[in-house]
Amino acid sequence: MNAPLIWIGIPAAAAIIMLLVSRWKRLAVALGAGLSLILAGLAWLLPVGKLIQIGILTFEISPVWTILGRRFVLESSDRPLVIFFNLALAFWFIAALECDVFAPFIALGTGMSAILTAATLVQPFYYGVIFLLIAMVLGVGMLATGSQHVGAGMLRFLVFQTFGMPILLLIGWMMSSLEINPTETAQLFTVRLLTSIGFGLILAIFPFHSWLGMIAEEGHPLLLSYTFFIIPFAANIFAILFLRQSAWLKDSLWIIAFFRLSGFLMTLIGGLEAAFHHHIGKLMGYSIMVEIGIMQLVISLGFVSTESESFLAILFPLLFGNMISLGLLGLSLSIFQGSYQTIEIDELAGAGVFSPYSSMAVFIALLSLAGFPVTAGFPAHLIIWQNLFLDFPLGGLSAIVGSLGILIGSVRTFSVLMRAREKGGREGSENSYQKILLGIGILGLIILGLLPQIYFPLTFNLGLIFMGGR
Amino acid sequence: MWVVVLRWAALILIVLAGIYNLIGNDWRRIGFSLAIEFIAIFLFATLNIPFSLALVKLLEGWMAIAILGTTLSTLPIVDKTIFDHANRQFNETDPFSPKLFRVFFAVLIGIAIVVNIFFVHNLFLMIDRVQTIAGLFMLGFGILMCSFRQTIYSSAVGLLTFMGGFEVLFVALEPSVLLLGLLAGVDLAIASVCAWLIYITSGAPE
Repeated sequence: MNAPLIWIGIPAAAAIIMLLVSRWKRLAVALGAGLSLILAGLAWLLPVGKLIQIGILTFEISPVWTILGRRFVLESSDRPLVIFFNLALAFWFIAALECDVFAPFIALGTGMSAILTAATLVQPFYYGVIFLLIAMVLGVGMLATGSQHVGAGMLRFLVFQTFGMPILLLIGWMMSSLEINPTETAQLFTVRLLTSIGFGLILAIFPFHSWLGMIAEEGHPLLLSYTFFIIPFAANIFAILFLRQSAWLKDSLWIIAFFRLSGFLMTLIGGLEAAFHHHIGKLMGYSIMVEIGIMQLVISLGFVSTESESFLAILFPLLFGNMISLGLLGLSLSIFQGSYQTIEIDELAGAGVFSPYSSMAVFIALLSLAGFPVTAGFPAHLIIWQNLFLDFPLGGLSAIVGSLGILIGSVRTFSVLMRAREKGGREGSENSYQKILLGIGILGLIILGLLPQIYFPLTFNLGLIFMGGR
Repeated sequence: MWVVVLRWAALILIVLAGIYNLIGNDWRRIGFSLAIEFIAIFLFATLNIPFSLALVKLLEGWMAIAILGTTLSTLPIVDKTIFDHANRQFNETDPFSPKLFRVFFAVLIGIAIVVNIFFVHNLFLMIDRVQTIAGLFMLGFGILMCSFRQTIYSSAVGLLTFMGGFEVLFVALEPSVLLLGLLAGVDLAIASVCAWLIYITSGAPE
């Protein structure tokens, strides 16, 4: 038995089985959520590469899986990533139970998670970008199936990701095979330029960010929120692993400047667009733009810092907060979508009277994404802001503007939701299961904001283990 | 001698088929010219990898086209023209000037390749020069196809062309079996997802 087989092979095989049982949604959800929780639990409990004794049974889980001469390596230090992927998956599957989400989401989500795990574990490392693209293509299929119409946003998402993959594959090959001499300026310039373009496309960085807003009008909110969480998460982690393979590239001023500039622009543009939105799905997309920008800024800080691992590990608590916020936002927006057939802000005027839990969940989730005090997003945002103002004040300022934009957007949304309703409009409702989930989510975000010691040290340490090991 | 002739023949096929894909309106003919491009990819691949593996590349490309073609041919609304699924209208009467504009851009791509070929070839000395030109042409045509038309079918053909161009180059750099398999998986995944997008936007019952 080997670790990649457990955390890549089993979910990949299970995804096919779930596709076959997807007509029975509750069964598929139970299988998907159960499997994800079991895999997360196993990743937590099972040591990799050490002898395990259960009664008279003694065995070892090998970290290496070899296929066609290439290796998938899952060391003990990679387990935090696997825990995060599977926890997120279980979280969204449980939310999907009472939403009008199409059932193959469970199979496609499980498959995506397995492929994204493979993307970070395969060696040579640059093969990972192919897995990343396959996962994103699956993501497009998933979003399209649950959507009202397929527009330019989904096509742009597919096209940008596909264009980015070959560029990064080529750079990866050049890094590992050519032994580039850092004094050869022509080659160096090409590698840096292509790296910037490739990561710009994959990470949806300005000017390749437009699909984030466009796709938000096309996809189902719950599926969108999952996509908005898992893809930037996996792509950013992959970017860190990719760039850390080559010290001269990681430490080059070009790459640092690229991440700083892109982070600055993404937080600024995302925040400004979030403040003036007319569609709550788009607000979610712009909030993710801000979060991607913040991740870029954290990566740039991490690469120049002498305590690189500590800086980069802050991404894990940040992403944990984002996971809960986005899951809650996706669930509440899909309840609105189901009740009102739209999430256009003007069409939801007064919806707070009939759907109070969903309205409150939208508000609190957006506050958490903005890093507002007393929400789960605050502690990680605060540490990032403080460090940005110390090392890169312009980035700190743009991150604050981005968060302010989300805050203004969330207050605008909440005020419209709570506006007095005109007679004759549609009336939405929430069932008991949805109310319980939304209530847990709202309370969870507030309690984690009030008592960050519950999750912050744990997730930060997981981040440290992962960043230290790779 | 024959190898040289084959290389040049493959390059000419790629250029002609690529230009047709840029200006053509008939989805069947576009699919056919893409199939010809995959023959050219196969010819280049045989220079770098065993014949059987190169054949897999050809079959995988044709399978991707078959997935798209089968979907389009079974839809009730499809006639010979490209259906604009995003805007739900036919692009039946494409006037002459946009076609000329696209050909002009194809020529620009050709000029850019000629100007930069020595620089690119110096970066990747293991790749034959004609093969490099062919790969760059396909990359350029792929980008143009995805940029000029916002239809799902055109995007699919553009992406497959772009990926084909990359494979022409990369197969000479790293002839790994797993890599070839993964890239084939990417092509088939793109074709399948685009076919699915075409299907669900066509209004046909699911």
